Amino acid sequence: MITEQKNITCIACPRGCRLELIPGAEGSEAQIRGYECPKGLAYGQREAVEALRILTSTVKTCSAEMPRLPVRLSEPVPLDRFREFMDLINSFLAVEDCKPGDVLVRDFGMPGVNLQATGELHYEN
Amino acid sequence: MQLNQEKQLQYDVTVVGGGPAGMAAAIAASDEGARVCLLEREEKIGGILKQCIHDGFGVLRFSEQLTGPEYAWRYAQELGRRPVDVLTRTFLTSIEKNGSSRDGYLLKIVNSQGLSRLETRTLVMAMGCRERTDRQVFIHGERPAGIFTAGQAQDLINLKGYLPGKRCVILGSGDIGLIMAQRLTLEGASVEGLYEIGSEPSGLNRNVSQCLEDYGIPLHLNSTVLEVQGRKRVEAVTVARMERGIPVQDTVRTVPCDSLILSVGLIPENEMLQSLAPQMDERTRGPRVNQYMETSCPGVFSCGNALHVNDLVDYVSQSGETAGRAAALYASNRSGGDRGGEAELTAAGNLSYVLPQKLRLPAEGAVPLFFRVNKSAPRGKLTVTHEGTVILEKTFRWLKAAEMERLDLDLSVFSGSNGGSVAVRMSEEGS
Ligand SMILES: Cc1cc2nc3c(=O)[nH]c(=O)nc-3n(C[C@H](O)[C@H](O)[C@H](O)COP(=O)(O)OP(=O)(O)OC[C@H]3O[C@@H](n4cnc5c(N)ncnc54)[C@H](O)[C@@H]3O)c2cc1C
Ligand code: SF4
Repeated sequence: MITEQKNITCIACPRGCRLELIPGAEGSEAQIRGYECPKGLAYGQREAVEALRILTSTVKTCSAEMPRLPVRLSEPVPLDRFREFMDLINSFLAVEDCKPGDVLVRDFGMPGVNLQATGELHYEN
Repeated sequence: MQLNQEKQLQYDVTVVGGGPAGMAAAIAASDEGARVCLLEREEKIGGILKQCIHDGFGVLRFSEQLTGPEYAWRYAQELGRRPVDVLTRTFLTSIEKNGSSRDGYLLKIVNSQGLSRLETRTLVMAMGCRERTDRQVFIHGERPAGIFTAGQAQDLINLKGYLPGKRCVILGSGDIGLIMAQRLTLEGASVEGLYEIGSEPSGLNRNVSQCLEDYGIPLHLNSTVLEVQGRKRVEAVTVARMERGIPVQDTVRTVPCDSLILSVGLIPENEMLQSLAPQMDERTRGPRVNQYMETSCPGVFSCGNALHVNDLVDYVSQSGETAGRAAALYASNRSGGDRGGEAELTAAGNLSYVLPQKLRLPAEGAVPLFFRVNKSAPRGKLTVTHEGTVILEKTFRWLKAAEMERLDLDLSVFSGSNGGSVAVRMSEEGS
């Protein structure tokens, strides 16, 4: 749950209303302002509880031809933990061949979240 | 593929560019039975998608949020299952007409085997677009190291694993700039702010929200970079709010930074086409095409970002398919191209362009019309008239200049008519 006010753009439809997320007193539900429809209210409430996002990045390889392999996390994770996940991702080295969808690490930083390749890596011999 | 120097290469369809548009075109042409060759100057096919590691691709086509490399990989797999000659690290250097109009074209290509000639009945141009650079935007000062286009920064970070700067300012709010603001931040750089001369961001809402707001990166609208400071390397930029093209006095500020990243627009890549002098559309900056993506040069087709800058890759693939199939039919004389006539489409009111610009008639089925508004509007009524008669009307809500819109036009409305003018108008009213 948010602890300080956040102003965001609603992306539940192309209108793009400006939403204000105002923290409730002692952990109670946040107050949402600025929405123009129920979809926007629901979006604001979800974002106030926890902003979840898919993190994509790259990892190092030993290949001179392809020094970076693109990767993603299999599940959306809390935005405020992106830093930790980036540190984990940046300490990983892809030493084996892989293709998009292959799981590189299971339970990566969080149970149920996998680190997945999104590109193809092929080492000569 | 090994090129055989002795033999002249001959194809029904030659696709230039191996991005999503070119891959889709080559697949579709091959599936129609054509002998197909695909030319790509880079080592690997996939085009710009190779460096777009973020997700959000293929929502319409695969009902999934894929990353760019995943989307490209699926198409590359499909292409690999077909008898298409894929020539990578191959540059197209010239195009000439080969004899009379239906004889096709003669191409010169260069690769590690040297210079070769290639004869083709048809051409599908799918060379994507290029970025506007600092030479095309007006900024005072030196040109020290540390000025990159957003696409160059994306290539450096995502493909080469190299951070272009530690303290960055971004000029322009195109989608690549927004996406790079996030990437730079995640990779440990600090993004001081994004300056946009317009009164609204030129990228999609989703990117403004998830690439700037999520990280607290300030977006300065109606603002620009006036000057770059630094001799060897960028040391700072001077920024200001602008009013009617003039900097507002007390808003002029110096922002220390070591790099300036430009996200100031994309231009369809059509230089190779110039020798054939097709009719061009000055708004899209691509060739004028009919619903088969055929240009005014017989047997020359265009698709993807070379035709007009797209924001969804799904539509890019779709235009590639249309172009590839039509090229294959043309090459085997199955397109019936010389019959009938052509209607001309024009964009009016709050529309910057409509695509296709021409319709070949008579034809069956429906044609997707793609258009973009000049300025965002809460609602707008689209009216399509043919020789003064209304043939299609639809009201749109929350139109954004950043977002391409689409509407299908059923061609049965033209029953009996093989030409004329079609006006596509977006008007403010309409409730
Ligand atoms: C940074 C960025 C982010 C994007 N984000 C999204 C998104 O989230 N979701 C979405 O749906 N879409 C997105 N798009 C849009 C979509 O990805 C592009 O519109 C699409 O990839 C364009 O495909 P293309 O095949 O037309 O061009 P490209 O992918 O650019 O391919 C053109 C190819 O032609 C080759 N070529 C050029 N000239 C020659 C020559 N003379 N000889 C041989 N080969 C040549 C090039 O090397 C290149 O491989 C994004 C685009 C960009 C740039
Ligand atoms: S609040 Fe409702 S109308 Fe406004 S952007 Fe969100 S979904 Fe659209």
